[in-house]
Amino acid sequence: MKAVIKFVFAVSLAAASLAATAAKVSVGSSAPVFSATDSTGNKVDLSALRGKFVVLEWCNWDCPYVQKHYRSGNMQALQKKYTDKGVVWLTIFSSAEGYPGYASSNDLKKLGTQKHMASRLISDSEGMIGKAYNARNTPTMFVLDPKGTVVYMGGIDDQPDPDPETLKGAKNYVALALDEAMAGKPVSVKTSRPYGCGIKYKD
Amino acid sequence: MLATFAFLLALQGTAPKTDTALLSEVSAIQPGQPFRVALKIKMAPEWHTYYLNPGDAGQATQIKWKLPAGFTAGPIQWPVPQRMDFQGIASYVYEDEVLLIQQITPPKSLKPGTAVKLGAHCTWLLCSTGCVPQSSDLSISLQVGAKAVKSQSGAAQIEAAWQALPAVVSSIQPAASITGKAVTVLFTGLPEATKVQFIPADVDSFGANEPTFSGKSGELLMSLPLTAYAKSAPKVLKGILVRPSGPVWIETPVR
Repeated sequence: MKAVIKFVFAVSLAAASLAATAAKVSVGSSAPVFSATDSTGNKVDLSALRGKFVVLEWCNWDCPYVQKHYRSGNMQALQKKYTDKGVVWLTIFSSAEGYPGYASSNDLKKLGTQKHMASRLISDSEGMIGKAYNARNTPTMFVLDPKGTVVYMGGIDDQPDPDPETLKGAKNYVALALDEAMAGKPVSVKTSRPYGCGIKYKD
Repeated sequence: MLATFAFLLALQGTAPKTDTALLSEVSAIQPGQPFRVALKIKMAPEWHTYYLNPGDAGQATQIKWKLPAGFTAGPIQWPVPQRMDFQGIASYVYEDEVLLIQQITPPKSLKPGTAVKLGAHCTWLLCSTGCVPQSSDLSISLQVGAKAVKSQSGAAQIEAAWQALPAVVSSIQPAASITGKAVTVLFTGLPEATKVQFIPADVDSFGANEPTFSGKSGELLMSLPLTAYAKSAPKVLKGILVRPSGPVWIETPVR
């Protein structure tokens, strides 16, 4: 009986905090701040990144929609191109332990190098960052401007399919948003439906 | 009937085999006379495929037909999916077995005594806790006759699945409008207003969002919120109204 009560309580708490924060994340709103430690052991504090463009990318290596962008080198090329221009790119892994896509900080240490990623990798297996942003699937992308305002949120492109052939001629909304925002122009496509595999959050 | 095993584009070693087949309700077709065919997908236990609106994640099954000249295929008639929720991430799925029915219309110019082959490239996402994209290339050969001839097992299977599809019920009159960031629908002619659910067909507008209902004497008011990612409100609201006496297909302009 005790266990049951505890379970119900935990779920309602999680649901309440998810609803409270999730409702606030929208284009034009201030991005929820968080602090974490990346795979190299360095602290990432979102509020300390004001003044820079920031990309948040939700990732799961076991997801075929993510694999489309990594096996082709598409995601790594984007990370390289924009981090070279001073953008901070954070790749976040919110899968809970025991589910596909789970990655501990230790796992990420090796994987970042193996996969030639120019981004900073964050293990979020407790799901705190993912739930604050209401991230539901991988890949889901956010672009934040130097004031910490969300200027784009949604899918990486306009091709919701795991087939690598669909990369040809795809309209990449993250690149578009960064190019426009960094040139001081308004972002023309502010949101699109994120597509991919559901994130398996911790119970 | 040609039953072909699914071709696994397995990216993970653990992906189960999915059996697929094309069924036809006729073994002989009549020139110009439409007939129904179905893609049958048989999934391994605990794995699922997706509805037209997959919800928060996933992807709808796709069928690309390779038809002889003059043939046309109608839209997929999607059965009522089940809602599956995992820690607040919800999807509309099919488990075990699903038949996706389409109407094929052959040209009037067909010559009785000949045969035709209908091909289909089918792709679907198979998921349990993880996901694997799968596909199969299927075909079916049919005779052309002066009169259509029912097939032995295909006709019964397709008819049974057809009977379970959402029905168009003209006495149910929905009136939809946009109210802020939600679509509001007033249903009239719906006596059993209390025990209903609505499954939106449009992933871009609604995803896995669920409506709230309020009712008063013979009327039912539904409010269905747009997702945070919706670019604009839909011009037409489409979806399945699930009620105790059977599912109803709703398709109404949003004013």
